[in-house]
Amino acid sequence: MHEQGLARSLLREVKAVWAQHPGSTVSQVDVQAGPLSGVEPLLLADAFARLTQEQFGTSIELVVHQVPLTAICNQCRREVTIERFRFVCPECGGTRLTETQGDCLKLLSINLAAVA
Amino acid sequence: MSEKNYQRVYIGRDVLAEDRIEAATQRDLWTRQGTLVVNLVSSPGAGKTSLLEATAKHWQGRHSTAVLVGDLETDRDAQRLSPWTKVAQLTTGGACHLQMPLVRSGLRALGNPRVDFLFIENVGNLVCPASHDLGEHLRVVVLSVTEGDDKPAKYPKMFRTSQVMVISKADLLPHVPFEVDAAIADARRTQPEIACLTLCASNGAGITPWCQYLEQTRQRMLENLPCETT
Repeated sequence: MHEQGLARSLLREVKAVWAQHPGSTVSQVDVQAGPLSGVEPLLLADAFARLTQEQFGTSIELVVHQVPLTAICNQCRREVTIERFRFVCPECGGTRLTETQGDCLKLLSINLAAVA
Repeated sequence: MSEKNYQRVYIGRDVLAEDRIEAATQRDLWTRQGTLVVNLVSSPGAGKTSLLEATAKHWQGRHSTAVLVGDLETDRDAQRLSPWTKVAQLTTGGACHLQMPLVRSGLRALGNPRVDFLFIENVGNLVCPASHDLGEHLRVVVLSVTEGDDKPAKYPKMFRTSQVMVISKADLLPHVPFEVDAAIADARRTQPEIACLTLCASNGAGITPWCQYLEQTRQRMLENLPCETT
């Protein structure tokens, strides 16, 4: 259910871009997900394939690029990788960190092909 | 495929960015009207409704409150709360979390009241509600001692995105294998700033400090309001 909702939100974004490129078809969508994105890549790809199949009669390929969780330390300003969800800066011990990657589902790009 | 009939459009945007902007706008509106909004999340049966019942009773005649209560089915929670507070049931049908359109419809059903505290009781689920900002000022995760103290480690996103952890059903602590310090340590590994409160809604232990915490948070919100330039 969760992945279905995210797939719908993703398709809404894709359609908005698509609408700006008349005479084209979407051949592939690339997204980025990480440990705190709340996304299981296989389930999301499956949900997206089903949804696009339902709406367009053909499924659009979804490529999920998995990335590590990174954050910037508000104290020493270094960007660090967060291992095992331990939000403590390994450089200075600071505990105020802001996620920079891997905490959301990000739409990276859309491949458009001209309709033959 | 030739370059001419193929192109890649780069976006680089959070899929939920639009929802987040909408939530931030709503939060700003609630801040300006002096309503502190609390999004209560937990697994099913952790005691969110009991906590709200105890809170509304505690504040009877002192603060105005409203509750939007989300469930997959039935209006039992709304019926339970209705003697103590304004309440609207949000029946999701099958959706595993609440989103802004449902919150808005609940507020409309209540006549968009201006209250001191608005509570949004989310669907019982430690996964999906973590990804959805509802415009709240505080996300409070309720963890009952019967669930086990390993939940903060098992559900990092929910605890990372919460500002408060309430450990509920504390009267059962002598009967269950739950280490309060272990749960707090795990929660703080993921969210070092998280405030932790232990309470029991059924006998009232810890309800006063919980209510005071909310009152102080609202007070800080009111003090930080930008001066109106008329």
